[in-house]
Amino acid sequence: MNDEEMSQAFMALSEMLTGETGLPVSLGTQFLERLLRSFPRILMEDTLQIYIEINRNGGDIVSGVRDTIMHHTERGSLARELISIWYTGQIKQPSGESEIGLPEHYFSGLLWKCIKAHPPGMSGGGYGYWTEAPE
Amino acid sequence: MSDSYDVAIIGSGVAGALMAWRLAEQNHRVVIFEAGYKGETRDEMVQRYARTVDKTPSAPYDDGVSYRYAPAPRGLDDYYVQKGPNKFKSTYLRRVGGSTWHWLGNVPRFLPADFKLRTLYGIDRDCDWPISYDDLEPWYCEAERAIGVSGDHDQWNGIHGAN
Repeated sequence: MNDEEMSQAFMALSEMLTGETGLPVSLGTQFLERLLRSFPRILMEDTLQIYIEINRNGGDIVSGVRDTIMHHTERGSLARELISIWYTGQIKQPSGESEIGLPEHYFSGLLWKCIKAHPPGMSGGGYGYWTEAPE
Repeated sequence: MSDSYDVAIIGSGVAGALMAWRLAEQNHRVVIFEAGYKGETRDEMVQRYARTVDKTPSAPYDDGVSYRYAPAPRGLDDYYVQKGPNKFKSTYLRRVGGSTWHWLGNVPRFLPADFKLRTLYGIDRDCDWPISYDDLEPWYCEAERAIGVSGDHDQWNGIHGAN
């Protein structure tokens, strides 16, 4: 699998696992690089290839992903960190150590949209914004 | 820089800074002594927080150099003499601007009854304040104006003696 194929498949699997569409490709590229520093490339290729085949075969994609990726020891571990990196910007490496990236990865996390809040330290506007009712 | 001042203020936190501002407005010569250093910008602190794995309340401020000029008030016993069974659990920052940089951002007033806990509720270990809520009330308003506190005043009218 060449880099472009991997990138495209990674974005497709990311949208599937996060439940979000239109994920930024630039962020996806950085997340893929970070995951490849922590997990073997062969595992990433294997996981992505399986997802490509699940899609190609059609049918119940959710069950296919659950049974062959999420319930698999190594693929499941990678897939859970893929979800984590998109939602929190942070992952747990196979060694057990937490790995965190650029500040932008934390601020761009999907969890903020999910819980309808802004990241700590990022205000909802300039000075005095709290005097106005939320939109 | 002059070596003659009318007022020396110890600490550049919100209290010291407001006092200095008001005195300077009255043309007094004011000097502020601050044990901490200027510190990183707010943006740098926010970035530090984002890069920290364990996002504790102190995470934005642990730059490793803030305490170069004075001991760090990091323990619960460093500022207060904590003789009671329950220690006041709060941390402090040693930097220009003080612990105002490390603040939840809410400023609730004491209620009128808080000043008379012994008289009203017979709480033996507490004593009444030597002043009342009414004595402080104008200064609450001054401070809230200076800080930029917001809220719907009408919602509080009549509650627990608030007016």
